[in-house]
Amino acid sequence: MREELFLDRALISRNHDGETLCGDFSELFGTASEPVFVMSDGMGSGVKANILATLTCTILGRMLEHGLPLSECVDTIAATLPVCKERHMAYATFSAVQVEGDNMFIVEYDNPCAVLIRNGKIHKSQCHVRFVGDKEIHERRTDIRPGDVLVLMSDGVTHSGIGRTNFDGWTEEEIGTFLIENGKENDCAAVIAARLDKLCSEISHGCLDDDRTIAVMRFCRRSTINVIMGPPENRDDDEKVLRLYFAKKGRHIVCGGSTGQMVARYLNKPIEVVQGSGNSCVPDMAKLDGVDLLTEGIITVREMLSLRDRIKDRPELLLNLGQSPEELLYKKLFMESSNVNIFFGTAANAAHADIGISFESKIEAVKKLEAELLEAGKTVKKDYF
Amino acid sequence: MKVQVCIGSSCHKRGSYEVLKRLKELVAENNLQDKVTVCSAFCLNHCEDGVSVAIDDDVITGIGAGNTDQLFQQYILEQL
Repeated sequence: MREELFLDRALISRNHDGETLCGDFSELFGTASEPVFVMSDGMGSGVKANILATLTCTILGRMLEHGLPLSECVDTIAATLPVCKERHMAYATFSAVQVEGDNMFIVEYDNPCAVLIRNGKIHKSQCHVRFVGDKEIHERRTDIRPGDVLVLMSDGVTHSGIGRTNFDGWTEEEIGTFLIENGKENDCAAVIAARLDKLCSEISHGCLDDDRTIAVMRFCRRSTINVIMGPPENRDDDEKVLRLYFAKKGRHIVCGGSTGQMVARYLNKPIEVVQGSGNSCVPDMAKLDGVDLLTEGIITVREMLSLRDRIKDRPELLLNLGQSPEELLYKKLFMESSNVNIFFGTAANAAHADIGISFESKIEAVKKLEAELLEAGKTVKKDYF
Repeated sequence: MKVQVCIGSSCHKRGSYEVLKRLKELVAENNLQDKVTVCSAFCLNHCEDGVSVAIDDDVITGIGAGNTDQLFQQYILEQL
């Protein structure tokens, strides 16, 4: 994959009602520049399905990332999967997307067809059908263009609502059209996945009659965000650190009251509080010329991390994010960036000790932020000053 | 008269949101909207001294829910 491109990805996997394990399994393999994504749906639901899907996904992903031919991968899967006693079959579907240079290679077996959205239209490329043993495998190869959105799904998506409403399931084509009609150009992968997941929930009245997995891979141009939190330990370093911070390309976020004052002094610009932008949990944010977002520090960052936890639990929250400081911070960091540079100033704020914010807890918050960003696939660089 | 309530982390934790809300209420109750502007300020640099409130050029610290009314009476109403 070209260096200026970033793979923005999102995954929503929901268990069949009453099951503690999901019968769909997906994982990202390979490297940042040559990722391989695999999703598998095991026969049935629960433990058995989960084992079949996990094995299929892992074998396929590991073999493809090492460049082994597909037929060999399929043979290995067939020879490895445990045979179900009741059905006398060993069966799990799969979809694999392998990025090689400027191209993506999509291999599918018995899953709904992945939908590629390009320039607001469903993009179709020639499908090569080939049989490996008794398995009919569909292969597609296409170039990668910035803005491409590839949506993979298990049949829990295409079958949503069947038997619950008059709805008779829907085709991949209809799903693609829904996403195009309801999407905006720069929607991130997580928003696209949440939108589809929400509709599936609605048409099936919140029931999950099958495991449901939605995986979105969006190829977008890289976008860097620099975030500074806390003044440097040594006051004499203020200018040096800020020179470094502003020399970085990309957008600039400042988190912290005294950090904001320090930046305002450096830029020689006034801070203007956005009155009423905060709430009882988070203080107001402010405007400062030369900075893309200025919020209070640790309280806002913690609230944003707790919002992140809530969104992981309930992805649909992403569809109604507002303009409060923690929501704007979340959007900038998690939805609009590929690279995040964190400048963490370690100056002690004596006042914080009195209000139950220890220095350790700030370090903990910044570590959690880093871990969450990495989990979301971002490239993170963190420096202490 | 301009009244600014500090909303830095420390003041926020110490209740500046409530102080700000109460001051706005008091100004409205006394029909002083034309004479007094109450707003939030990013950090007044008195982080260790409790909620800080700047009234024009003076900074008063140690404000909380318990003495907001007194602050209003003494430093706002009586100074007008």
